[in-house]
Amino acid sequence: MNEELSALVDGESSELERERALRALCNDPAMKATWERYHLVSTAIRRELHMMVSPSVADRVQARLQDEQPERVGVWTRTPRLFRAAAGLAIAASVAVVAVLNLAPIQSSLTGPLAKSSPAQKPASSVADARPAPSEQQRALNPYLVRHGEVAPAAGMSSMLSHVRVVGYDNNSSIESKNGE
Amino acid sequence: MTVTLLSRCSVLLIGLVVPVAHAADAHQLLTRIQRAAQQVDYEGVFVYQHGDQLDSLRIYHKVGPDGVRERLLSLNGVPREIIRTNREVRCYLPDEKAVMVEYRRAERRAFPALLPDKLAGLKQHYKVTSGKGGRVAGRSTQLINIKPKDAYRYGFRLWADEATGLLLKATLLEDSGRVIEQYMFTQISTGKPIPDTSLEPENRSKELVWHRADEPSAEDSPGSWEARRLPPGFELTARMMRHLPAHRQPVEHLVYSDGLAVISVFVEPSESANRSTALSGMTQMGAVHAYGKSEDDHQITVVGEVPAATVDMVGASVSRQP
Repeated sequence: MNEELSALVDGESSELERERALRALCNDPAMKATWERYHLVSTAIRRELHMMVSPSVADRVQARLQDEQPERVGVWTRTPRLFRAAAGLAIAASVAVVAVLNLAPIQSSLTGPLAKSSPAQKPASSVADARPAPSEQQRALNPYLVRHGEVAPAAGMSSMLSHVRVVGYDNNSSIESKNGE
Repeated sequence: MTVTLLSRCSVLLIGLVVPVAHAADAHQLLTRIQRAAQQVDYEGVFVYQHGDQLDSLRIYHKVGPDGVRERLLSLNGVPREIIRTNREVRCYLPDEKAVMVEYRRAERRAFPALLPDKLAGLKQHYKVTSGKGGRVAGRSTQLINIKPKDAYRYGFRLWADEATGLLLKATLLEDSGRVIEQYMFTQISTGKPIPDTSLEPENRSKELVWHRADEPSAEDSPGSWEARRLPPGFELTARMMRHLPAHRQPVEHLVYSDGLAVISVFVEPSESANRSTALSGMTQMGAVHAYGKSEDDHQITVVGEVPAATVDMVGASVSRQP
């Protein structure tokens, strides 16, 4: 669903996709909330143009974003540093879009036990026995991933993609194992 | 001195004038993305989403006379860091109290880069189209859509900066269209000098234990292992012996590629691999599937940014050459 939202944000969805995404939005309260917040941010982005004329708009929108902080458990507690660091609205808004786009999954992982998400929330995998790597195995795999990253330039991102997995894989909150390893 | 200055100037010039692909030809665009990664200095913050996890990372990327130097720093959770030069890759993992060092070879002949001659072959297994993308990190982009023609590989959507050719956003997609992983710059700056101090590690704790891979061995492997079954379009592109950090014996590394997707097969004697963590069966990290098995007193580990079925097919067929 994130993808459809993302496409909507980017204005790249077809008529059919848009309709589907919007229908899904209406049926899902969490998604609806996400969508509403996106609109707030989107409005903020459009006002970027006016910022040159009236810088106070930026302050007002940012203040509004901050006022609403308590309602947005997951995302906003995860990104406050970025928000404080963001000098102007432009960056704050783009970070917010990302945060909003990803609100649903992050919230769902916070409402359940940290280390486990319910199977219903886990997207179906093409092969049933593929499961997220338990942390010990993930560690043991790191040298292979780094080595693999050296030969897999991943479409021009140099080997960044493979390395991101080593750096960015947070083994405290995303590891689960169906077999209880 | 003049020569150095001259070569620096030319690096700078090339960096500024990576030609814009007017015709938006997808293959030209791909080549341009590749070149930009080798020629343009940049610094920025990007987000990485995989499954229900969202991470934010900072990157510094500097081109110098000795090639590209890059520093990647995780901004949330454990402050992991990776520093990459053309000589080595250092992973600072404070949560594991470890630094992992992997050496790189100066010459990259084994590097299966996305070269224009390989791009032509891509058409057999992918449908490649391009067009105008939306704005990313405040910049106009060109979009490349790479759709696989079968279920053995993932699709890519790539957003490249119109001005520099840098990749600003990338998504990996299953054939159903579901996003498996995505990256997006939220902020990026180019054309500003990057101080050398930005490429120094923040993690300087004395407690860190260093795991170094031995210097690469000069000879490549005689080649006693192979994958017997490969999805259409994949072929062996490199074969080498490498020392991995914290591994006692060298590992045979086989590289299979269809020109875009890459699968690595690692083979090592079972007594060299740590039994408690040796992989058995299939596991997944974002878009990466990994498969492990024990065969003929050897541990086989297969990793790749490809669907589980592909890794499974290749992994299960790895055996000693007759």
